[in-house]
Amino acid sequence: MLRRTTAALAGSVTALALLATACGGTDQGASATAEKTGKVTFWSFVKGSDQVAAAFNRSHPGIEVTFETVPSGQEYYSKLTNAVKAGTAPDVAVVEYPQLPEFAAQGKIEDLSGSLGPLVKDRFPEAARQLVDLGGKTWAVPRDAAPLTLMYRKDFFTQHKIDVPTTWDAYRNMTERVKKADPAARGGVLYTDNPGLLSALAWQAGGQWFSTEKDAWKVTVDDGPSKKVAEFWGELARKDLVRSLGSLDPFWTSVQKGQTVAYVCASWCAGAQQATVPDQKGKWAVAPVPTWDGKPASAMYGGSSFVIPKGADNSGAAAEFIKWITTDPEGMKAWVSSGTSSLFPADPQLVPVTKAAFPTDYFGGQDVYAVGAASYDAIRQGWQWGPVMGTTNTAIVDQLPKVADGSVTLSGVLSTAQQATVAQMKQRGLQISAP
Amino acid sequence: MASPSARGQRRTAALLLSPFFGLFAAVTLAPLLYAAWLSLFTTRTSGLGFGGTENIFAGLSNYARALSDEAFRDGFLVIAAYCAIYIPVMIGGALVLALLLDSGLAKARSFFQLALFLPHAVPGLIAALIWVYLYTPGLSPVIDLLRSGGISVNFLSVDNAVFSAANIAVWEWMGYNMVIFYAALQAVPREALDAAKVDGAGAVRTALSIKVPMIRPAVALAVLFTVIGSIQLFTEPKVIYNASSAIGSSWTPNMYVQTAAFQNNDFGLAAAASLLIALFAAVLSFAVTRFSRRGSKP
Repeated sequence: MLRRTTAALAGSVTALALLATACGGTDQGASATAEKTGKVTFWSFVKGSDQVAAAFNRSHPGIEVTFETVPSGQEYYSKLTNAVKAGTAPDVAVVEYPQLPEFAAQGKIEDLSGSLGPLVKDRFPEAARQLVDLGGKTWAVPRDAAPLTLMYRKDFFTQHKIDVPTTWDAYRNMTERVKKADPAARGGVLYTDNPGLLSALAWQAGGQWFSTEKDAWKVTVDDGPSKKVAEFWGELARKDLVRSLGSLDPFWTSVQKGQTVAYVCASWCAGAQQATVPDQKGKWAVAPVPTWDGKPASAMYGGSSFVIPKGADNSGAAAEFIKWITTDPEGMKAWVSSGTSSLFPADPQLVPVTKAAFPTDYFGGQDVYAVGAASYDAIRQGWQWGPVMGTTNTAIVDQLPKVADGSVTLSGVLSTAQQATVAQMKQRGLQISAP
Repeated sequence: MASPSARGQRRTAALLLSPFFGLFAAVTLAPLLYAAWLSLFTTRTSGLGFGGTENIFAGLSNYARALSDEAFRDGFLVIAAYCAIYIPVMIGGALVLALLLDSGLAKARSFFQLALFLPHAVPGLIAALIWVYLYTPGLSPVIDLLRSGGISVNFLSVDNAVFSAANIAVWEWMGYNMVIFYAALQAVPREALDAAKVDGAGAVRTALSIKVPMIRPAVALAVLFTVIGSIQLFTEPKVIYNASSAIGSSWTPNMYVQTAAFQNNDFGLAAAASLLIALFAAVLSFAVTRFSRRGSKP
């Protein structure tokens, strides 16, 4: 089990907060505190970053964090890589889990085993730790887990007497019924520019794109469970039962226009939904993600961690800041109270904090964190991201828009990605064992 | 023996030329040499890859890898298809517009000159963003309009992207080249035009047989610049790629370089591919210059 009961936890959080403050005083000697002052630059694109930096500055007079907003997506990772190369890297930067192994392998981030390793070991369950502990070293501190959920328009489902699906078979029926009820509406989306959801669904189905054995990688992007997922979604897209759309403006426009009435997403989508489409307040609800056999199973779609890039000027204060924004109840509260973030803390002890801070009136008072918590518990163990995810993701994204018109199959896309990934890994000199 | 004045002259010349050579060395030669240096190395790691990386000398293998990569070679085919559409339409259109403006038919000459030139004043990136908005299904009023007329077209598909990219470039550059051609037409001696009129040539005949041959150098120069610009095609397809990745991340050679460097962190390959593009552009512009010069000889 990932965590004890929520009731037991609610009480212990306050105690923990006190404990953390108390430890803060005794842990660090005079010399250590001297290092943990000064200026820290902080790069992030996740929602609520400006508020969390401001809240940290208010409570830590010795450290001045300067927040710089950066674009999300591949452009950001290029920017961060270049900044490290040029020696102008920030002290703290956000890196999503899929990109972390590549940053670590490129030698672009500091090994945090000594400074923050014990914290990670102490506070995070295996499901989160396995994403930041790579090759026996700790490279980042997890902020949020992004367990899968299903977002749906309660009003639409009630009006047309459509049941909320709990299995993928039922999900297919649901998409058919949605289209029948309203020819302009769809019950899902296959993103054309974002491989993250596809990999999360493969993970949920029991796929395992990457694994390590001794000193070698095993790459199986097109394994059985992943192909099953690809065939399922490829068919939905070809039959026009789900829309094939870009994940930013085109997707949100379709939600706005009532053309997307259900979509698979993760915990953070609750915040994104209410921030992006405020006028559909009260119409949406969150449900557990459907599964293949009806038993709970989940995976992460997104989720971010914080790293100290190589060449950071002030890694002492940077570590202090990372610790606060990932594991301190006050830090967690600062993320969520902005109202745009519904992050699910990777540290399960902090769930009550975020739950209390997140306003749920958009969802008619629904306990969205309970759905998230159940999903976090059900995340399949053992998933790993690969060391050349930039290449893997690009290979998928380059083909995704062609799935809907039938010019490629989605499982064919996975095979292309498999080949591109293996070729790039060989080029870099990485050990690959035969699948 | 050089006279003092000649020596002084030489010194002045060197002084006046030095800013140019200084800048040329700093912003053209130095990056070229750096790229050449980078292109000889590759980054290697071992095992799981978490033990750090090292730069090793790779000789010319990055060049071999670029040349043997189908994605890189296909980029040049895309450029060829793009040029085949873009250059005739854009240069032809600019020429026709310039001739119309120059003919006696045109009314409100300076208004049209300004109006046609205006798109060029919009920065390329902004222009591409505006066009991509018009190309994106669900956002574009144009697509909605076409759909209500029963026509469904995907401007962002891999088959149509060449047209979509060429369309943006035509919109942007036609007015610019028209202004150049129009200026060249102003320099056509009036005696030649008068002589044509006396000989009984009409407006069309004058345009085709007198005006066009006389502004041939201007047209040749415009073609040369357009060809070199086309090889570096990047902004428009990159913005199209961001809207729909159907065209692929290595659609044009410059996109291939960007993907190699910033998606795959393969700077050696990116440097080698950029130098190959530069070499190709140099050879092609040499060929275009030779071809147009030979053509202008009687």
